[in-house]
Amino acid sequence: MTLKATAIDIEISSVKLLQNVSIELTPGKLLGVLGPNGAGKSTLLKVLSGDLTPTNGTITLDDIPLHKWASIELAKRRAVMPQASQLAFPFSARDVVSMGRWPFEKLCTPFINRLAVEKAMSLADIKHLADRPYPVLSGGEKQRVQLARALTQSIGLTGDTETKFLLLDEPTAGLDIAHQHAVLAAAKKQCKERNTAGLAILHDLNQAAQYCDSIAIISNGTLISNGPTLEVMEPELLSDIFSCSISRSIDSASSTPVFISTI
Amino acid sequence: MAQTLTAAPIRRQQTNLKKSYYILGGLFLLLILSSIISLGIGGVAISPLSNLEHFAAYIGLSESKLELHQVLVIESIRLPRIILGLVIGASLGLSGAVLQSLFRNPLADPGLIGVSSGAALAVVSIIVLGDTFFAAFLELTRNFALPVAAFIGSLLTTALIYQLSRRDGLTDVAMMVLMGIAVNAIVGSLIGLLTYLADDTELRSLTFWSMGSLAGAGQTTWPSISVMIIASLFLLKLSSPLNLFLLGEAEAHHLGIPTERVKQQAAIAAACATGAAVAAAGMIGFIGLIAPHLSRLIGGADNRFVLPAAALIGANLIVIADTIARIIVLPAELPIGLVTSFIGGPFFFALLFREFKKRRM
Repeated sequence: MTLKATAIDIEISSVKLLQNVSIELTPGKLLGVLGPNGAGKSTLLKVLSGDLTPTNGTITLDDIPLHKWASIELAKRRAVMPQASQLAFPFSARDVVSMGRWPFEKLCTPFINRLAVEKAMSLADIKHLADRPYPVLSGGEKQRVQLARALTQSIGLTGDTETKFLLLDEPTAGLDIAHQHAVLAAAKKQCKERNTAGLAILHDLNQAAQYCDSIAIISNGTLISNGPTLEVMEPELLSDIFSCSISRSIDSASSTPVFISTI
Repeated sequence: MAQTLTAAPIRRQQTNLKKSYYILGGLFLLLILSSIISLGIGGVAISPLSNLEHFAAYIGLSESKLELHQVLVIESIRLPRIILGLVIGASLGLSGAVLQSLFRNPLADPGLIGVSSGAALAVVSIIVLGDTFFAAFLELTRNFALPVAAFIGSLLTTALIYQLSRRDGLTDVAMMVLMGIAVNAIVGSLIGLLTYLADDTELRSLTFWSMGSLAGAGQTTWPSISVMIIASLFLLKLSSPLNLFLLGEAEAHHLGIPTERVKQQAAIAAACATGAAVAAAGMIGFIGLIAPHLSRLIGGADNRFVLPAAALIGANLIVIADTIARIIVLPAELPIGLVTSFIGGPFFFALLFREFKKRRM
């Protein structure tokens, strides 16, 4: 009952984007993916979502290779929040979120579908935007609509026991600080309460430490480290990967780790 | 908590759904009305009421008071013409709406995938070079030569554009738009070359064909009509998947849409529908672009509404345009393509200005 990549290589027009990456998503846990720009984080997410077929290695869901899954069956199990979505047509925010229910549209009553939509919208804090046309929303608001769409898809059906997978590509990009926390808290809550396996590509070390149960660090297309958050997020390793000096201290008030970076 | 929060929006959503049914119903009534009025207008004027009486007589509801020549005009000239117009308008509107969704571009129209240019090239080739190079084809198809050529031409050009924009088994829709432009340019120059070679009579039938006309309605257009109806029904079924396509191809895939299959089906069905329309009546511009826009203006962007609405609006527009084309220069008639472009151009201006104003707000 897991989404698992084993020894993945991705090569596109003889450029190696990922090399020998193995990773597994755990139900109920949120995995943070850290790494410099161009390290291959989004490529990894595309492999896990089935957008890219690996050159070598295997990617399986429930021990069945991903490419053998019908797209509709796959959609019932994993939801993806993209980095940016262009939509030139005047759908309302609620319409866009409702599209996340497509895989289940005929499997349950309209009432349950709408309930899932409204629930995801309140999680993403966009209920007040519900009837506004999507194209006129600000960048951050659009992000949250996309998050709600992914969340409502991963809510699935009532009584669903199969693990869902929620893949978030830089969910905090373009958001104000309060909504960055709100988005990550919503993702974490979804993982915990519904036993969903989450993956989020992040850039903020403090948020990664605060919300993620485990961390994978990717650099130059290879998986450098993968494990429990605090074990992986060693200041020396981070300084080396991001080529700047990063120190870690413990905030006395909240007793959470705080990362400070300087050039 | 969740229930109390959601009650209001759910009710609103249902009224939205109801509203779009009402709009579709209204458009359908409008279509019937304009068809009946159009039946009566022309050189031989017949009041809408006597028209209704005449057709009601067939099911025994009333008695027809029409004279024989009036019956002839209605049943063998105007009715086939209106039916052809309805089907063509619906096909063009639908194909336009589908292609705009497929390319995620509000400016896409059936011409973009080479349907019109391909058909035009085929027809020009037959008209200008027919006797010398395509004698066997003319022998084989006789009366159907132009429609068959137009249909084959449009499908071949679309297939070419589709193939050119495929790489590693995937179709790149952005590439398809650009390939379409390139192929259309080359085909356009070939059409120009052949037009240059054409003599006066050939030129005459060529211009007539390229401006569109429903005058050919009759037995020769039945094959085209059946192709259009089948392709249109197929296109209507794509409305839900195409909604998700508007989010983006990757997103549609994440939501469980078999994207390659949808792209292929949409391109083939749209090419068949418009190809058959061009084959039956020549090139009728602007309907494919305007009908979907009008639908979105009155009822929102949901393709489950836009597709049927675009079909109804397209049909309405053609019937109205054809009525105008028939009567405006009596006893002659204007090519319908001229009328649609003449109304369509300014209308599109108005749309653009409206959009412009909205953006500045």
